[in-house]
Amino acid sequence: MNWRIILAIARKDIVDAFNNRYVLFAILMPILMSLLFRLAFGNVDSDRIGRLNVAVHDPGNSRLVAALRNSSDVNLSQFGDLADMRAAVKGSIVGGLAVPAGFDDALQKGEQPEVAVYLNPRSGGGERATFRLLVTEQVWAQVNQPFPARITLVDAGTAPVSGLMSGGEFRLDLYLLVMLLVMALSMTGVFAVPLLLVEEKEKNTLQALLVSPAGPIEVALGKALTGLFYSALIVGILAVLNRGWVGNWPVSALAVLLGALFMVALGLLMGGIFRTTMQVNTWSSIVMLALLMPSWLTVLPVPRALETVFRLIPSFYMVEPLQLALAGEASLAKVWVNLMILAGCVAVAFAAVVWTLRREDR
Amino acid sequence: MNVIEVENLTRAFNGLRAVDGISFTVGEGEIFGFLGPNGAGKTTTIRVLTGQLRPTAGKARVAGCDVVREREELKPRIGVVFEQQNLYERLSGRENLAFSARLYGVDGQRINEALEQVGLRERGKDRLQHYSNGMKQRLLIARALLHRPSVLFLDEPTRGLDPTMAREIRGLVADLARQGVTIFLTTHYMEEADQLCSRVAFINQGKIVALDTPARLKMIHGDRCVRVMLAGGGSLSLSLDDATDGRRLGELAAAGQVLTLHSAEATLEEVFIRLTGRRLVE
Repeated sequence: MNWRIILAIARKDIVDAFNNRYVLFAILMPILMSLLFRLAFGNVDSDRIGRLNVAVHDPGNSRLVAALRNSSDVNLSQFGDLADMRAAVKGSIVGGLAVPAGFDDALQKGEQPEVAVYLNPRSGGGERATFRLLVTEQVWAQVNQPFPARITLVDAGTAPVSGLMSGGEFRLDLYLLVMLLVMALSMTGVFAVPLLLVEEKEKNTLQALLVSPAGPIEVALGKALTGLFYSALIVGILAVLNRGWVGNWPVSALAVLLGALFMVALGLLMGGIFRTTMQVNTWSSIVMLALLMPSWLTVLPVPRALETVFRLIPSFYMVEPLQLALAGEASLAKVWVNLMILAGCVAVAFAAVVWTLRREDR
Repeated sequence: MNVIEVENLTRAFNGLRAVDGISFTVGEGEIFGFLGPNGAGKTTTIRVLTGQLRPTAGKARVAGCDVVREREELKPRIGVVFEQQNLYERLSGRENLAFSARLYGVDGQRINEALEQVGLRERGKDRLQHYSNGMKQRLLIARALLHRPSVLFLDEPTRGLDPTMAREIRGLVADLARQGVTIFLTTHYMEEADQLCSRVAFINQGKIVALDTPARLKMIHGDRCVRVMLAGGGSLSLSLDDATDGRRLGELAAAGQVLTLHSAEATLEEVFIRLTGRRLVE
């Protein structure tokens, strides 16, 4: 194994990839998705979303609305008429709150007065979730009780299944980050990396490489290094865009590193098997979809049988520690089994790559 | 001294012998032509001699290295110009050579020399998308020469080039041979082989059917005859090996009937057809 040759191949590919529209697509797609999510879901990059614009109809001057008015998270617009308030719920106003007259008294008597919450369907999902949460918190505060519970969903006998739901708050920003990271690593690993190899085959440049001092192992490692370089670049950009250093970031970094290694090895294997760009385009999308599925566990109610299937997908063992680490709930001791399984998958995938290359060599 | 030594070399694919027990040697600084139609086994032979394929049987040594056991030692001693223009199209000519230079651990200064050698110094910074076929072919040769190999394998180096560019490439090949580089050349073009090669081998269906200098091949397998253009119009073909034809030529010359006299030796193409019953380009 000659590192001068490996670095020469990686350097050539890194320069060449900037002119390769397929590879550029793989690099830019997750970043564009990240920006798109921010647009679609509003400002979702913190525990608390910035100041919310809320319309209220409060004929009884309730303490609930007074408390909201004092909150630094809310800008209130008061409406005397309910219809006017409902009509105002559009544009930058995330929602409206109709508090009936006599609300405070009813609450003190232990009754359950109705508070109507009107949501602006065009607001971001994160803003709407935060608004609902804020109203719930303030209602509990009116009966002199703190927010009643920290909700952690626990699968009996195992670790919490989703760190991103802790505290009763759905952390949309972190869910999206996990999904984007899996997408970015799979786009680079199982799309860009096999393309780099297959393109060398299609254009017969691989033949020229193999009569040079480069052997199949150097070629594969050169491509792997290119894949890891681009993975690191995109993960860095996504972390900056989404404040991904929250929680237990060393565990997050380890999970991402192992995930990147696994996907790059898988990409090399695909590149070794496939002969044409068309084959890579077709199969990569299927493999990417499979690798992405475990990241859906965070929000979708998944039947147990399907969850068992997800556990057979190696990216599951990156997603779970990553979710927990981002939510600050994972220590290395808590997720080491996951990481070891992922490391095992990396070793198996690289062994398969070496075997394939040696078998094909001459 | 022999730079290439091939002994009973065979390479089979799924039981079919693409190369079937061939033997030959190539001396230092020689241009050796390996001629045959498509599918005759030329490229397979090159792939075995350059270490890309293992032979099924037989032995081959190139530049002092066994092509199977000493493949890694062999690689820096040979240069290969492939039939396909396998360059990185999105990179410039200089970047293509810089990449090869890094692979071989060659000094960056050598890139300028190689570009100069093939007349591409001025166009080195252009991307290959803006190169003509001929320029790409010259760049392929520059890439193969970058690490100063002692043996150069050229697989159809002038295929698809216009006559002017093909002539330039042939000139370059002849120069390299004069500098002591041993050249193993495969081509469809018999005139090219005739012009460049000190010896040629005809390969057909994996076997060498003839191997000699072009002149001897034409002499042995062609007809020794002259074409006589007559003063009164018309022409005659007279054999130099036939006593009657010899007398007839003398009589015509004495009678002032001979306008012009042309040698009419067989071409390599005709020799090839005579030996194999096939044309080179079918």
